[in-house]
Amino acid sequence: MSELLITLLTIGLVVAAIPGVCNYLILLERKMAAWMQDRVGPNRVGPYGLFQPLADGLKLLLKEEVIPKHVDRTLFVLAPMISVFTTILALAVVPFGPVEDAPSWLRFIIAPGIDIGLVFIFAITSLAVYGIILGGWSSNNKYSALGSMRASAQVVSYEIPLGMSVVGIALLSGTLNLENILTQQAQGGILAWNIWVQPLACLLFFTSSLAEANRLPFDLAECEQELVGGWHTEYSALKWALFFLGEYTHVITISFLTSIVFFGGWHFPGIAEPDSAYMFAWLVKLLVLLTKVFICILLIMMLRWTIPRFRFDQLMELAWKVMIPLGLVNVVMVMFVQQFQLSRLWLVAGSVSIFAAWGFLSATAKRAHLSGGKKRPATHTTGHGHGAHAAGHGAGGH
Amino acid sequence: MAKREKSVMYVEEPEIGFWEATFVPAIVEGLRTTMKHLVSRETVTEQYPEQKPDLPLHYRGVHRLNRDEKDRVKCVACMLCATACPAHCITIEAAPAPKDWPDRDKFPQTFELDELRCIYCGMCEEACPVDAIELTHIYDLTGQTRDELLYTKDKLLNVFDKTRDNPRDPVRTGRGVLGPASEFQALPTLGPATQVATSDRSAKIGTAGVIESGTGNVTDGGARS
Amino acid sequence: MMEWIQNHPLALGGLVVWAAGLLWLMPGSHVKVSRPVVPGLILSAVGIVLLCLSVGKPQPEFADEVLFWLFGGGSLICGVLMITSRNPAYGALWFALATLCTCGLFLLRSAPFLAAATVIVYAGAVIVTFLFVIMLAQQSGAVAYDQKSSHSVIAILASFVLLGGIAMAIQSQGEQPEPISADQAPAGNPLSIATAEQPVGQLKGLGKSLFGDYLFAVELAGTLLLIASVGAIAIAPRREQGTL
Repeated sequence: MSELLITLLTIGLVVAAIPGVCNYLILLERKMAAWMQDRVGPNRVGPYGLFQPLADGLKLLLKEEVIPKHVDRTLFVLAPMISVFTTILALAVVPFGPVEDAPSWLRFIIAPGIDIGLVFIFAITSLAVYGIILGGWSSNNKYSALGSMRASAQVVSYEIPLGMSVVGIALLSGTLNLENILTQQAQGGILAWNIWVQPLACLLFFTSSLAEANRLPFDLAECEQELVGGWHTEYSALKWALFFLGEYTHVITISFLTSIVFFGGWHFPGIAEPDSAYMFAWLVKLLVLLTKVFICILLIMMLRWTIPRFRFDQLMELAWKVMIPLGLVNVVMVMFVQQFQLSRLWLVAGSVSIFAAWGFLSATAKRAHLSGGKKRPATHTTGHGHGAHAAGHGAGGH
Repeated sequence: MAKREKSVMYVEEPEIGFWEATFVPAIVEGLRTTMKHLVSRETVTEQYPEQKPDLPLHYRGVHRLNRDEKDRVKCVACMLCATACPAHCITIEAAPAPKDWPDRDKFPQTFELDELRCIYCGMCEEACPVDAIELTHIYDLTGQTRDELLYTKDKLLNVFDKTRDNPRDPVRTGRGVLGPASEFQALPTLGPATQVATSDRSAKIGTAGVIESGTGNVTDGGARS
Repeated sequence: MMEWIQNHPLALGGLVVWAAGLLWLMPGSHVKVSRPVVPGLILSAVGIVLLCLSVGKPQPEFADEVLFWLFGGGSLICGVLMITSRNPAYGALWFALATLCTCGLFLLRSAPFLAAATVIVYAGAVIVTFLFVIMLAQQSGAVAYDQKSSHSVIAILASFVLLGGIAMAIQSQGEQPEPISADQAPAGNPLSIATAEQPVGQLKGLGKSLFGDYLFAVELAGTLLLIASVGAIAIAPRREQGTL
């Protein structure tokens, strides 16, 4: 079969699968949210609510498309398209199966052999924020504008730790190509998974990609309690749905990247080895990879109901004061190990000790901050805590 | 000031230790909690159409007009409910009571209650001197037109017939006997319940405490000044 | 230089015509009365075509040719729209689009890393920051001073002198610029360091070039940026508790 046909088939498969998968992920998320809150979740449409996504999709298709009079029409219509287009485009270089063992009629990656795979993904996903910014700006609504301003600041900040976290991986594997990163891990066995040598980078990567995707606990751009709906306040029907299709596609991309870069991709000892030669080995490898991705998605969904949303200054503090320094130190550590040809075990010890040192530093800083407040005389009248306390007692005593 | 200070409790900000600063125990603890709920399948959800809700006894639903023991409408058309109603949803047209109803002067010729305007506050029930209007436990009130939900006397009496035997909707007050107001031989002197300054607009109105919307002194005075 | 002008009257004419068209399109000081757009557009288009005709031909392959004209023309048109649009937010968006088109050109010249890095830095960060500032400053429509261009004559003169210089430099390298990945690039060209196995557009070649041949320049640029960011932090206003 010709190369062109296979490419078209793969593109068609991905583009067709994404909306369906996203629909059912939304059902799963609603179910999980319900279970975590001791509820039942959607259970009316079809057995166990399995046809709920179809009903939702139909509803969103048939709903009235409201375009308010005060919006900037062109950008208002364009914004959801950008959101979906960029997130799906990022999937082009993600291998979603065992690329080498693929059957002849299918290829598990749309664009194979891209030298700059990871950088490409970061470049494209950094464009995804345009959907949010333009949507918020063109809505001509203060809540939307506030939401999109938060989104722009957040994405620009979190791009740095995101890029920094994979620099270590790139140095260790000597490539940015996702297929090569995966193959190296698979050939080295389970101990070659990058999670063992770069646990800190994995943590940073996962956290900052959540922030990039605007997922909880970092969904400051749409936080309902303060901003009505944030950047999508004025959106309705299919345009609104497109925004969320984009967000869920982003979640899928994150999960694929985390599984491939840090958890060995389709490799699992005993089941899916690079030299597995039994029939349908490609199917087993595909299933292993998809299971890892699914677990990652489940974790993301659980985190949504576990960690409360950050305050905006906390969000910025986390990016600039915690994650960027940690990422930088991690990169320097990897450089040391590579330069002096040290054992990779040093990386494990280094990651743990960097994390511990940061925890110690931050605890010390917090304690110093608190005791600093104690020493300060009660000059600031509006302040709460010890100063006001002492002043109050003085007034009460006399 | 001093008193208020005593009622204020100051809380010390807890010390941040090493583990708290790394966030790790907090996140693990949180994940454990969510996981616990995720795995345990006890739900608090009520499957509504199949499983009816267990409403509290003081629930305020659709109104009914009570009947007395002779199956006559208990209402004496005193207009207290219409007056008390904050939503102005009750319209009563009174007529002289039939000759064979010796215990009252008036009875409601028509009694209309707009269930769509009603805010279900229960003030009519509080105001009624003869316990004629009551709120029942019927909560699933639906209709396809506005007229359907404009409850007339017949409909309201019908609600009584449907709910009188329901243990959740007992005839709560008076048990079918007319209330104490029906036994008054002479009316007490009319006057405002409290002292009202003569400049107050409510003192200028014929009936103390009743401000009719759209007519009379109130709106005109407002427009002139 | 005079020689080059005499040899390429077409290029000079194109530059002049394009500059005139652009000057016509620039939002002037009279915000209320806007000039008709068509003559400026026609002048610019004629100038662009003349310049492109004189500077050189694109690659012979059909797909390459289509893409080249798409990206090249797109970046020029977006650039013109960027400096002529009255709404600063639209200006920023056209800038983003022009950047993306330029990245497309980088890709055509088989420099994918450069393209991706440009997207991240310019489209993903710099223009997002522009938009952020524009949104902060312009909650209720554009203000008058943002709708007109100041010093448009000087700006156009300077930029077109630069453009002419670039065109001259390109042509003095030969009528047909060599593709970057080719290993027979002329000596003296800094790109000649790349070899066939490690073209400078690819990751390895780029890394070797940056941190081997141009280490001093890279370090210098890095130090400059560090100084700039330290300076920015030093300038930022401070209050008693924390910054801002």
